[in-house]
Amino acid sequence: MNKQRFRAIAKKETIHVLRDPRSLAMGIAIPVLLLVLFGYGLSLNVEDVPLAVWDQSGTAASRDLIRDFTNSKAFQPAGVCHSQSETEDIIQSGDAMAVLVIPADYGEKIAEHMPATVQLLVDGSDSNMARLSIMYAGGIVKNEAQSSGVSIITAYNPAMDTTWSIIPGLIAIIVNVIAAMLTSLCVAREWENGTMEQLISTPVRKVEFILGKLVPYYAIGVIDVVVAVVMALFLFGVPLNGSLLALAGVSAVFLLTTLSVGVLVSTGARSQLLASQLSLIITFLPGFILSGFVYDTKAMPGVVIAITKLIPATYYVSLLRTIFLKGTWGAAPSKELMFLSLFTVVILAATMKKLKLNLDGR
Amino acid sequence: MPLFTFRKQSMTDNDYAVTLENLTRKFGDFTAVDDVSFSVNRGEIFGFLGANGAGKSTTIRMLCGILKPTSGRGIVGGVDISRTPEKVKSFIGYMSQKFSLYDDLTVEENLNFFAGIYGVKNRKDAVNRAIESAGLAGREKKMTGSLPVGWKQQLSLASAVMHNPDILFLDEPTSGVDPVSRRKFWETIRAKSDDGTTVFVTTHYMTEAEYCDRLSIMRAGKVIALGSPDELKRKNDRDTLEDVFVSLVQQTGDTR
Repeated sequence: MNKQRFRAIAKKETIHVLRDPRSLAMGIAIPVLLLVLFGYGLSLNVEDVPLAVWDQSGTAASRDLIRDFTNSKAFQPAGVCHSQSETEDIIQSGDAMAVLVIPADYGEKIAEHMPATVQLLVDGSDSNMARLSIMYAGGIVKNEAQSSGVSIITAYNPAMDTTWSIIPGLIAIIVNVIAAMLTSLCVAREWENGTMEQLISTPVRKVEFILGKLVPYYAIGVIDVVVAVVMALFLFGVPLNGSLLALAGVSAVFLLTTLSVGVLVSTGARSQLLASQLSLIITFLPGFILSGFVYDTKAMPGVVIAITKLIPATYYVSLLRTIFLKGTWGAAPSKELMFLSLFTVVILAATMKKLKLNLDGR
Repeated sequence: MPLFTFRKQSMTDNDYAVTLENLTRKFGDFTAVDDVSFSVNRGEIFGFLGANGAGKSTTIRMLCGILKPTSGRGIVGGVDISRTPEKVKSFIGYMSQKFSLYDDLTVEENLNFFAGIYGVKNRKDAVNRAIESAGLAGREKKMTGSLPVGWKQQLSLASAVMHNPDILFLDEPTSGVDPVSRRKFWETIRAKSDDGTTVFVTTHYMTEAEYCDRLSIMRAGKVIALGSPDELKRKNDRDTLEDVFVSLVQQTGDTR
């Protein structure tokens, strides 16, 4: 590898990027836009669910429990019931979306430190709201149980704020897609504009060509990560419990991974249009569906789990969540980093093999 | 650099800048270049004539190491183009038929880029000299895409000779260029040739063919005539090169 040739390619590619408002917009404005849109739009939080209460116990213990419910952000009081039929009516009418039913023996059982049962009737017609209400209620009841000696704490995200887990994952998905899209144009463009024929008549080597091209896009990727992290911390209020250095290190590796995927696509595709479409599909779909960003991968069938393990975004999503929320590197961060590095090397090797600095096969 | 000693060695072995031995290139069933053999002397301007599709560009591309021969050999500057095309690329200059510099770079940035790619020493001086000799002074900051065709061709040539190549391959460098720019272009080529550069050029203009030391005429992938302009006229009993060309190319009717 010749440094002067590498620098010449990097400089030229940087000029291309700076002169092309579209690639700058795609590189920086779109990630910000996506983060705002999804950050607010994808919030899975439920607030102020109208809750009715049927307190058959009427003791201090039952009143404590009700106060815990109505004091939480998730529920707000929506009436009192006195019979089974009233609980059904209030949900039917839509005045309440959930009813807390406390049995008559609740107070006694709590006093005797016996397991007590309460019932939550939920309007299942909005299944997402129902699921979350049950989840919140479970958290409140468990906290209540603390007083009777049982201690259960929801770890890492005590408020169960979904924004906290969505934003780090979202950063991973956006960086994944944008970085690959950026580089997906860079080789195909040279063929499409006919500039490749001149370039391949020079002594430039593949490695200088590929790495030189990565330089400006890597810079844009770094800007994206910095902007996204600043937005996560100050706009969405996600806490950064881990170290900034870990965040930077992990992102530095992942950027190279996803930029390389874009270069490989660009090398294989014959047109810029095809290259950008292809890179969007191969990064966005697996990244969104299989990375654990939206759906928990542990619940997937074995074959699918194996596939998720082959997707770089899976590791970045999990690493970012770990660093942001847990504040640690997770159980085996070196394994994840090693996978990303290995993946990058394989992709770059495939690009070197696929790239032909001659007109054969064109 | 061992590359250069190796090259000089073989250059003294034979005085040819370029040698083709049974060079052939097929695209599927189509034979674009069919068993072509000839040599180009060092320092000469060698013209390559032929109708469109005769195989001129394919031949030049093979000699520049950007297209692999199907069979046969090509030796450029003593180096086998099939075995080590990357070596060939360091001491040749190539101007493709289609303008292929970067439109969104300025004149100066394009030259700077090629100076960097070719590893030119004293880059700034070299770029300034190139701007001067291409007559582009005052247009350094102009966006390449906005230049008229004549200037673009001058810039292409300046980029291709940035590193003072031993051998220069020009594929229809003056197509679409006005006569004044064309003359200026050829003055530059002449000057390069006087400095010892071998120039291998394809053209459709017979006035340009007259400037060449030797010519080869290609038809349907084969070389059908080779010699100096005067030799070709005498041998074919014609007064002008145009008549020579037309009579040779039409002899079997098929020009592809």
